[in-house]
Amino acid sequence: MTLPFQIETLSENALMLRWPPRQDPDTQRQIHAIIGVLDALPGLRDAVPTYHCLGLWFDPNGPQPEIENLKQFLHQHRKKWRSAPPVTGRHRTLPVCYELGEDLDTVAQLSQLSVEAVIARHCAPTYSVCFLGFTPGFAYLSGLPEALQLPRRASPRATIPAGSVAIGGSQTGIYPSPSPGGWHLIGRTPQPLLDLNQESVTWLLPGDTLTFEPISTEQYQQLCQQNEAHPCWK
Amino acid sequence: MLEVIKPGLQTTVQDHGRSGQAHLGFAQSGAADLLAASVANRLLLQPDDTPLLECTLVGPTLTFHCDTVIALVGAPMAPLLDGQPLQQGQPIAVFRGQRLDLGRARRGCRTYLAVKGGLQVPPVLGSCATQLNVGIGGWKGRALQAGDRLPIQRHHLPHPQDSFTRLGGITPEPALIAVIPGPHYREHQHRALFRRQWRLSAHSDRMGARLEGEPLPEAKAEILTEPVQRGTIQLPPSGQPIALMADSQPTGGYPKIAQIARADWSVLAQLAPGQTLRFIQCDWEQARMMQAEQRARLARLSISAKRFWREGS
Repeated sequence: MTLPFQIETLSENALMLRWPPRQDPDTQRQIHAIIGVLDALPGLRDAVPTYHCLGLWFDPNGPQPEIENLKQFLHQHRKKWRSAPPVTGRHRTLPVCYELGEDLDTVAQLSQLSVEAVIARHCAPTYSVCFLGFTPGFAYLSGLPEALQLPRRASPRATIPAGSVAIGGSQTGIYPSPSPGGWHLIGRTPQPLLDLNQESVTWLLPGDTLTFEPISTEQYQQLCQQNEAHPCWK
Repeated sequence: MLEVIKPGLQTTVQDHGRSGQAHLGFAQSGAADLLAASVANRLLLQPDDTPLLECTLVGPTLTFHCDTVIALVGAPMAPLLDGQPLQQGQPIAVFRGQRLDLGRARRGCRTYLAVKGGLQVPPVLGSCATQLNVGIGGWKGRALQAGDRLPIQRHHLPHPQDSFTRLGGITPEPALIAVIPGPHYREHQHRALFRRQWRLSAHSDRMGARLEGEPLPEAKAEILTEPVQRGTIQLPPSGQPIALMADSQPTGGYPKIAQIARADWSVLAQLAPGQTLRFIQCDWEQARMMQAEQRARLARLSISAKRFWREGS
């Protein structure tokens, strides 16, 4: 049987599927289709997708996962995941106050664009949520225009405020909670991205599409007040 | 009720961590030294993942507002109960109004305080573990503060006695940690990784143990983000490895040069900043044997604990 990925041992209780290292829509489709058939896999605790990998974490107190067994399982269910359609989600529009982006001027200089052009380019595409990782609710998005693909900051910041919208390398993202980071900060959103009281605790999920919508500082403050009671801003 | 008089350096509620949430970006969290936490709970005849306190370097001072039974396991501190020295590694009866002062770690880094019946905190996303960096779980998503009052249950030790075979202590320095080379490990790093001594940086926390030493030659400049786990050793461009710990993020973008054998996670968790370690190479088969051996030791401990509590004999 030939499978389009390799299987590696990640740890005593985890295996990992590895595709060739690229951001590729068909790889994403396969990864999320495989996640869809994993319910039938005994002892599985977590399925962690990235652009080209799928980590499978099993019960550490259960039997050790075997690569051969997983191969057989995926081979048996191949019809279901090989032909599955791409995962689709909701479309989300995220309000962003670009005036609050500390590095916006630096980004304009580095990309040889005006500040207005940086904002326009960042707002133009429809981004796709490939997977979540790094911190709770942090979405890895694909679709950043080449003109905005810049090297990361030479020295990372120790703390980036929650709600920061940033770009780094070929990626753009929004920080749901305060965290360290080396990306350029180009704006701030008042929208909470993590809410433990909602049924879906993260505002974004794999398969969702996303566009950014510029708002003024006044609008930002207004929306922040509406969300003031929100635990993730404390 | 257990009242916090002094919180210590970083005291958090932990269990064995959160599963089923990694795809949303949550850490697994849970006790940094799962083995010590399991031992503490088994001494009280309760499941390994019962919520307990993880005390770091400087322990808390607590007052108990009901009778209970506790167990202290992990780094040896200088625990005093109403001024009287206590033995770690065995069940201890505590009475209403008594004050427990853990003191400082004399060796090692983390001590676990288990309470019979467990700390009564509500689970968040299926676990009572605290993920400090995002402020969720445990006690209000944070380390304990003076004045906190954590609910506990009333319990008694049926037949108090003082003869209990205690478990062996903390590893000597430099600590030896068994690792399996990872997917981005390259043969030319062998000498640097396995022959040199590393030191735990003061910038280490529950997310990652930062190791200081002569920089390792680069593996690969940058990789596309991949799944990572507790025990994964990443190599950032600085050449100073980071070993991911209990609050590890589920994905990471630095080359993965090795994975720490699960049986040695607790060795890493018990290193204090400034302490030294060496890595030794092993394979998955050996790592599994080490884990089986550790499970056998835990099973033997459960039998001793049952005898101690006069159950099953």
